[in-house]
Amino acid sequence: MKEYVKRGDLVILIGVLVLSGLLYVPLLFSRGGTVAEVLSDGEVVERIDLDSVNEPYTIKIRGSVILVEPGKIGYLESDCPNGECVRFGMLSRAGAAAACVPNRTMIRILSANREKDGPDAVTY
Amino acid sequence: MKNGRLNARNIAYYGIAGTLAIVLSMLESVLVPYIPGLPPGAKPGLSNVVVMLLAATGQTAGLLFPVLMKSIFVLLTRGMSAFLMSLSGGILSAAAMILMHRAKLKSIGEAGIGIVSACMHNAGQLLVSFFYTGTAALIWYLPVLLLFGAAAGLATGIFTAVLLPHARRLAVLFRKESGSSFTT
Repeated sequence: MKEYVKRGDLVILIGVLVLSGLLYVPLLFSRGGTVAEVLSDGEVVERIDLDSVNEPYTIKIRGSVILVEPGKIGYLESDCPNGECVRFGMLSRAGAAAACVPNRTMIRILSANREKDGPDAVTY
Repeated sequence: MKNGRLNARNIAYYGIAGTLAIVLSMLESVLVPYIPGLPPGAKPGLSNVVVMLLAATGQTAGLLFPVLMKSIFVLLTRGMSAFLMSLSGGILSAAAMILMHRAKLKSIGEAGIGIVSACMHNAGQLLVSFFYTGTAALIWYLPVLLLFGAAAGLATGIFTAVLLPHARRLAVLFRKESGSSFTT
């Protein structure tokens, strides 16, 4: 094994793993988001308060079916060639997002401080 | 750029490389649904082995052949957005490979180059997704892509290191027969 993986390779491997871990930390601390947005071509077409969802329902948009459940949202099925949007699974954490790139649609859950649609505080 | 000359032998050699890349990516797309827990966009990147072998044997110009042929194959089978993702990922990862080989760092081998180029490939795909969705929201997904890029790159890097002695022999054979001078 040593002839195929050199010391510098291990440094790179550990470096990338640490970087990935550091970038993941904010997500670990993010609570469940409450406001989900459905975007088409970068425009918000639907805004859903996930806490007030009682019964699961679906939204159809550009060949994709989006499932909305209490506190969760995700692609259920899609006509795109790869179906990769479905593999994102159900999103619940603030900051999480899933996209169906071929259909140019996306769903995202807003982070808590962006829910109010404006700055939390303005200081001068 | 002598070794990038488009004589019949080089075209045949790069054509074989491109075909191998296409076959490996086809094989991979058959296997991917059976690998549990693999997140969207993350793939083992088997076809990258071909590109890495060309980079490692100094065929810098020729490695564009498998990159382009694979992307065009993706365009025909999976559409425009997948094509742009494949192309931008392919070009970024090839650039990373070439630069790392140029830097000639003694302690970094194919495994390290594989990891960096796989992560660059994933970053390139992510960039295209920003254009397609009109937002950068998918950036939250970067740590997952880096993690899987590291795993995939390590595996393809080790494959490349194992196959490299054979690829070197083949490359020398082709260059000698094609009459161009062999420089390392």
